[in-house]
Amino acid sequence: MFNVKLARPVMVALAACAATCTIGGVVHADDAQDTQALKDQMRIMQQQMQELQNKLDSMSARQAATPAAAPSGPPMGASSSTGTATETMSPLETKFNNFLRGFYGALDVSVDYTTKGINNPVAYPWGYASGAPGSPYVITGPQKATPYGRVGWLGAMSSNGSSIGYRGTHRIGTSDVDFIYQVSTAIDMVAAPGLQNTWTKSSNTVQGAIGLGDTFLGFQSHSWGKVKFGEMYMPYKTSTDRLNPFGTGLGNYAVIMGNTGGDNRVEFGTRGDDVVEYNSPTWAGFSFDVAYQFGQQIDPNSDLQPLGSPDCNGSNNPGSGNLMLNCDDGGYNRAYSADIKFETHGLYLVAAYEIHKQVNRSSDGIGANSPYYQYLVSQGPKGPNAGLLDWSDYEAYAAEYPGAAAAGSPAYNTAVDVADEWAMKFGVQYAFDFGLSVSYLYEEMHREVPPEMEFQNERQRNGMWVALEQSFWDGRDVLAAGWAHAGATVGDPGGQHNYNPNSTGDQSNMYTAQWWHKLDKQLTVYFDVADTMNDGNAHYDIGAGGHGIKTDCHDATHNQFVDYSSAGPTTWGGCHDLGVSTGVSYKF
Amino acid sequence: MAITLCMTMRPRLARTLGVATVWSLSSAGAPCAPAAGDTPPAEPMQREIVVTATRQSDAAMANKVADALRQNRYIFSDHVTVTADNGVVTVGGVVRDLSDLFAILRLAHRIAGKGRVVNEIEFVPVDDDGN
Repeated sequence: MFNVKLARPVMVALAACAATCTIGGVVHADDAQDTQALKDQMRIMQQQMQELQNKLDSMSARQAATPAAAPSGPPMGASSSTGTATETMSPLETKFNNFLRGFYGALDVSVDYTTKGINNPVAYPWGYASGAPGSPYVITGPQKATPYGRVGWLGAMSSNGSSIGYRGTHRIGTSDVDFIYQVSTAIDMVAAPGLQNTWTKSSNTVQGAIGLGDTFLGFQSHSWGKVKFGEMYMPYKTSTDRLNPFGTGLGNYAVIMGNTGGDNRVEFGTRGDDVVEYNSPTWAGFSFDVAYQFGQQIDPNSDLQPLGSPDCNGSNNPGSGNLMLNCDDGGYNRAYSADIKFETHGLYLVAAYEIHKQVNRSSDGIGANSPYYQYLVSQGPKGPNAGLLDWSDYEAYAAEYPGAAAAGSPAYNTAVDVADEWAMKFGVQYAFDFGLSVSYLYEEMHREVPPEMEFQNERQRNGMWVALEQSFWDGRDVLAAGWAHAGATVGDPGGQHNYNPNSTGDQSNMYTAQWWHKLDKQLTVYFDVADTMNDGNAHYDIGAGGHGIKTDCHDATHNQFVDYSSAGPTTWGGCHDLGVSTGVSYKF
Repeated sequence: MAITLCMTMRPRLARTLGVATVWSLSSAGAPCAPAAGDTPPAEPMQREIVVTATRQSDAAMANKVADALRQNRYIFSDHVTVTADNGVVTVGGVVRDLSDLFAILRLAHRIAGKGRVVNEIEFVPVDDDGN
């Protein structure tokens, strides 16, 4: 087979020889007519050489389109502007092939062995010596019960981000604008589909239902970019996804990054409903994205689900966070999200910002930590154990007993615990030619509350992430390691059962490593490990943001447990989550 | 983009050997100048022959990248598009594996040249935030 790489230098040499030989014959020509004839001859030769080069390019393309050893998988691959892969197909085959090309997805199942690491903590009820904040902390009762349930090593199976989707484009008339669309669904590979109401996560979304996943329609043009309308991750998350190699791993960076309070939910990394997003084209390496999430919230305290959504904005259903039937565990109104990116050679720089308006954190305030809680739930205005608690109840009670307000949560009212939360981050990544990529990300998250509320502000801190990923043996094996750090928060609502009011230690470090072994283009087996080390008052977990099953700091308490420090599934600060996982992933 | 190959010849050598002794490159349309450091010819130049060649066509470049992706045993590129314009290769579409993204960019850089690749691939990780 003719080798094109060799052919080009040979052709250049031939051209040079031809030119010089011809020149040798004409340098003595004296008249202009001969010179013109020579030039014409050269031009013809040049055209012939170019045609020959084009033929060789074409031969080379066809030769490469038929791999010597075809890998497993569909008969498709990267498509070029000339579509060489489909040129031998009939129109019907091409149409069907293009239809199939629209499907995408992943199937992923792992076997995990993890521990919550909360076997022997000691906890006491506590209070203020004078009954009001500002006075010394005192132990107010006997030692509380130890963690309940199997909180040590536990085996589990997990379906991690398995999904099927369909996406496509439709050219609008003779314009250069495409109509674009995408529909996704999530699949639970190891359990029956249903509402996602697990013991420590309450959501009304349904695994297996069409529309769970980025789902949108919109328009795109090469000249002005892309506009999308639907349900989707927003730029704050997507702009730094590539800095996080641990998508479905126990050690996804979302265990800490974008995760304001610890636990399972990732406040600044959650898919938004009712989003309109613009993606710019790339200009000289620069691009940007902006998104707006309609709040569709008719309650001024963001207590309700957005119109048309099954969950509160920020995910979780009403009732999550120890308060009942309300979106007061981080439900918010509208949101804005944006990023700016620069990429050249192996360098990637990114900055991103997102703000959630009117975030309701009542569960951090009058939740389980407030003396009001027990009264309102068990004897409140709506009757014993009515299970109803809302702001009108709280405010009526606070108005009747104004002196009591300071005892539980000082100066507490709706005006100061429904506040904006925002986050910003800066990241850099460099991918070396030899397969190594190095990523660094710094993040700041804020909750805009007045000073008197900072005592319970566990939503404000910084965080950082470092990751290394190395590819070996032509990409067959990939090894990655990462470290995430959560800085200290301004305050702490004491939401964990063993909260220590004399300690401000609520930092955390998560270490993780993962190995992927590709069996072919689509099938990968992997093994990963993650270890989260929490300070005494911190409760970050493993698995948040990526892995199907989260291993968190909750024990198995399943009756409502009210001691002003926790209720419902009891959270234990200082947990030491550790786990290993191995699984198989198939992409299509 | 065309490249002009300028061959400035010294008549005596050209007559006897038919071999160019001084070669230089310039962009299309630019005048050919003597190479730096070259000793001025004793005799005035009698001829200047201009040979032009076209850079590998955009389609061929895009094909080459796409074919390389298809042939790679470990890069999943079913949802990746490759286009080329004026010698600049743009990779687009969707990739769900981070190592695939890096491998695609490395390969495109290797074929098209660093600084001649635009990454418009949407990286959509396989993750699970549960909603």
